[in-house]
Amino acid sequence: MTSERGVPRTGNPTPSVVEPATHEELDRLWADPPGLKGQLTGVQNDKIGARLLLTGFFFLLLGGSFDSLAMRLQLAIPENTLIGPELYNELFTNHGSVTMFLVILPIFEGFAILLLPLLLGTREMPFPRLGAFSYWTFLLGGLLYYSSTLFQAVPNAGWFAYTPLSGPEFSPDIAIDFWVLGLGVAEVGAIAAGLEIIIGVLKMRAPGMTLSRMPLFAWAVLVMAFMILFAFTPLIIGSLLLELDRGFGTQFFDPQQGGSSLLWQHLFWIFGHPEVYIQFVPAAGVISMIIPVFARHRTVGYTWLVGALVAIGFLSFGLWAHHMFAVGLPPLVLSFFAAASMAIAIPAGVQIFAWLATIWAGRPVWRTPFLFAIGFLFIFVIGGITGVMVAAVPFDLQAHDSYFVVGHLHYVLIGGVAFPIFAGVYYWWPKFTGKMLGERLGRWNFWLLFVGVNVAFFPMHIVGLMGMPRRVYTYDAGLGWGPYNLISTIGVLIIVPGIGVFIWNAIHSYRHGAPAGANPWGGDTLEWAIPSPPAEHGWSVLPIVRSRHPLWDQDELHRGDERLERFVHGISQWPLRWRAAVIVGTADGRPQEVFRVSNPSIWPLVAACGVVLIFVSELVKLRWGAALGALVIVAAVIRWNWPQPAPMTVDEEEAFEREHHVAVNAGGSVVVATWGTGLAILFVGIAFASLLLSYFYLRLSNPLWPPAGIPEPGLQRALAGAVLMAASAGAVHAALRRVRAADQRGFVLALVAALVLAGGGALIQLLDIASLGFGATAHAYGSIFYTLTGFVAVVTGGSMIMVAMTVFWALRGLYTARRHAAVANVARFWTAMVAVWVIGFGTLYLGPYLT
Amino acid sequence: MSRDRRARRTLALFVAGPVIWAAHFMLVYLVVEAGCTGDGPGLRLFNPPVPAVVTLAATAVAALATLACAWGSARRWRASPDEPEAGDLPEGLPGDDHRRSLAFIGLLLSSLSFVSILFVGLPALVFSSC
Repeated sequence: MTSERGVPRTGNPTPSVVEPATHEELDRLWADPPGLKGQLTGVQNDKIGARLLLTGFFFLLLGGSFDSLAMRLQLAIPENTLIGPELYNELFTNHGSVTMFLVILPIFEGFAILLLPLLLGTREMPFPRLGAFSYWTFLLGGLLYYSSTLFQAVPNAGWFAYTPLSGPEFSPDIAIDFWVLGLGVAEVGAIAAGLEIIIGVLKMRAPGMTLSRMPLFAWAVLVMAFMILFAFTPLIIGSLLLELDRGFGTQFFDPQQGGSSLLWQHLFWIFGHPEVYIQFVPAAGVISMIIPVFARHRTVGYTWLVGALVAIGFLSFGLWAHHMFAVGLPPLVLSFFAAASMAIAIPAGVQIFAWLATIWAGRPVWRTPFLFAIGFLFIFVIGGITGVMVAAVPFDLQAHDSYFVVGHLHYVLIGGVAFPIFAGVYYWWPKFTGKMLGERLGRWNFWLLFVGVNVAFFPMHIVGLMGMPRRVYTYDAGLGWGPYNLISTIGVLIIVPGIGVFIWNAIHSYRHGAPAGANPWGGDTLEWAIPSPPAEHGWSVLPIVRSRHPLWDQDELHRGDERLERFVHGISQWPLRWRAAVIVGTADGRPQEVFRVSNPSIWPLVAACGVVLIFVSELVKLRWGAALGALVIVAAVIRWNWPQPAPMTVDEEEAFEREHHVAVNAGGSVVVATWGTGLAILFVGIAFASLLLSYFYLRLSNPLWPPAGIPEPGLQRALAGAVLMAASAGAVHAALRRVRAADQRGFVLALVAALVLAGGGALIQLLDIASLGFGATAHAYGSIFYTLTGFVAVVTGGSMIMVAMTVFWALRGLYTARRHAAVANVARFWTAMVAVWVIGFGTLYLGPYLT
Repeated sequence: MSRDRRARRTLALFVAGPVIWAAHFMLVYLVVEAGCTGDGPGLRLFNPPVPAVVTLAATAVAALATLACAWGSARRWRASPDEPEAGDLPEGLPGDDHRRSLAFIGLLLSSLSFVSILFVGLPALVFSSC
């Protein structure tokens, strides 16, 4: 492969970007409005990314640092009386929940949203408003979670909130509700940002940046974003079931009434294990960017690293029950998870060797980002080794719930995630602030953390094997655990000043730091060509990419194929009245479409407030508040997507298309909307699958299904309802054919027919539900029956609103034979809804008969 | 969607290995769960040794499928550089063919999936009952 053509010419000057005369105008066009209005309506990726990062660090100080310091001070000596058991439970719950939900995820999603446009040679993320929504939900969800302290109802059941401890019987107060609902809001935000990242990486890159020329950080966040979609969704479903048990009297997790406590564990860990890899994978991406630059050598084994990232993404979903080795699962099941837990060491090891090979082949420059990368390698590998140890079931049965696991998890999380975060901050700080972080302070930062982490967490392996359990607020004096705990506490007392040095370094650099040029590190990727800090729009003239390491291999950033040169210069000159970005082919990086990205808007904030309103209403048991919140969300989403008049005429669009052979869609991207719809369908599908699997799990847990006293359900009305639903799908597709044939009347009539058919089907099904002889609160059978029904109802309701809005816009003449992409997307979503209906009610009505 | 058809096929092969692994894992896990916790007329279908037999059979099928994907990816990787598709950009550096890189990664993923499927499935030779 030619990209391994020896040492890059890092001594040569960085190729510079061209600054056309339109640079100032573009900067103004892309800037957010000034003042408070701009703060609330701004959607620019710089702002959103920076906010996510800062919010994540803020929560790190709150929950990552103070809590752990307090716990370690309590544990320093045996039988200490600094902190009592109740407060201690709250501390470790908070420490785990905040770091796992509110720190790492906003930091990496923030990195991604801030960096990706510059890194990929584009100007924005595909859904700026969705990014803004994601930020607001993180902030408000985190604040909702923390508001529990104001009410003296702090969650105290661990970051994993196992049932039955977290259920209504043993946690009757609202502390756990804060946990479920506060974090639930943040989870919605995580998924929203994940959707945006997927589409951004796959479709918005510089011309010529094929998939195999993409920076490894982009591959990493792409894998991370897919994992978020597949992992957070089951957790949202599980949280829904827990909150239904706590607030509505259902019986999902009560074994006495047909439920299963283990069901919660499964749903939680199906999220929980991929969650730690969701955190590790982007960290690996950051390291993959830093090591080649400071080793001054191309990445060795780029394709192997890509393969490893994708493999980890998939394999991590087969590990979840290794957190449940001690609950009594059958040995064959245990062996599946043990096998997968060991298999994942293969791609992890491949990554380590690829990075080591890159360093070995190069001539390292020992600056702070590289120090943190080396620290990562050392600490993460130790954590990985203890991970393979606990993957062995017999060993884990001894080490489970002991401090051995605490040692393991902190080595992999601090080594594997926190050190790369520091490395990334030191690396990219100059780009976004225009100043360098202090190198001397950086070394102090690194060494304090490196020594402190090893001193704090290594003894935990030993004291764990000596028998010290987790989550204990104190321990007896005669057991010999005291010295190891004291050493661990000293380690934490070394870490704290390390973090303090970092904060001081950041503040000092922001005010008085040495100015940084565009490329202070001699980096190879595109972001280092742009001035520091970047203009609002990033790239005035888009780069043309011809290599994996463009700044090392290309003398010119805007030279290449003649068509492309004309295209990128054309985009820098026109349009100047709307924010234009480019869509490229997924694999080949060839420009496909020029489209308008969203302007600032207040509606993402309003929608986020609607989400919070629903969750807060449930917290205070104000049921109509939830209905109001739902209305707010629907109204906000409709206004958010309100079509704006296309700022270009069809003639102007076609003129550009003729000249450059690239489609122009000033009304909004056809490609992005289609991908967005597809991912939304995927999200609904995963949530639905989680509910179906819960149904079958509950079925397996009950010898009689339905339980004694409940008859098997009658099939006629359900069948009639399903038939009408299927017919409505036919009507929607007929509508799509009509609009393509420019038959407006037939188009609208077909849509109305679809609504009538669906309404009829829903009514018949509703009648059947109303005549059932059982409720949702007596037995898990009823609980899952009504919950699945409710899920189908929400999806159906949302689809009907979508079609109603389509009729509304069709009557105003918005859809023509040329511009009707939204109709195709609505048709796809409707089809998915009908599939959910048929499979959902099929399961509920036929399940008892088939099993 | 991308108009790059050959790349789409290569990408399908790329994810095929891990997707087969995931499908195999879900199938064997659900069948063993059903067989070891179920208790009802329809569920007696799954009583031991059915779970172990299904696991071994699924493992054999999935392993062969991933080998086939690996072979397909390897063929694409070793083939001579593709003729450019209509609309392809002239490549930047000689030999830098994105489809071949994707095919190589597909080969790596299929091979790892093969190994992982065997890791997961072979314990059924040892544990034949719950």
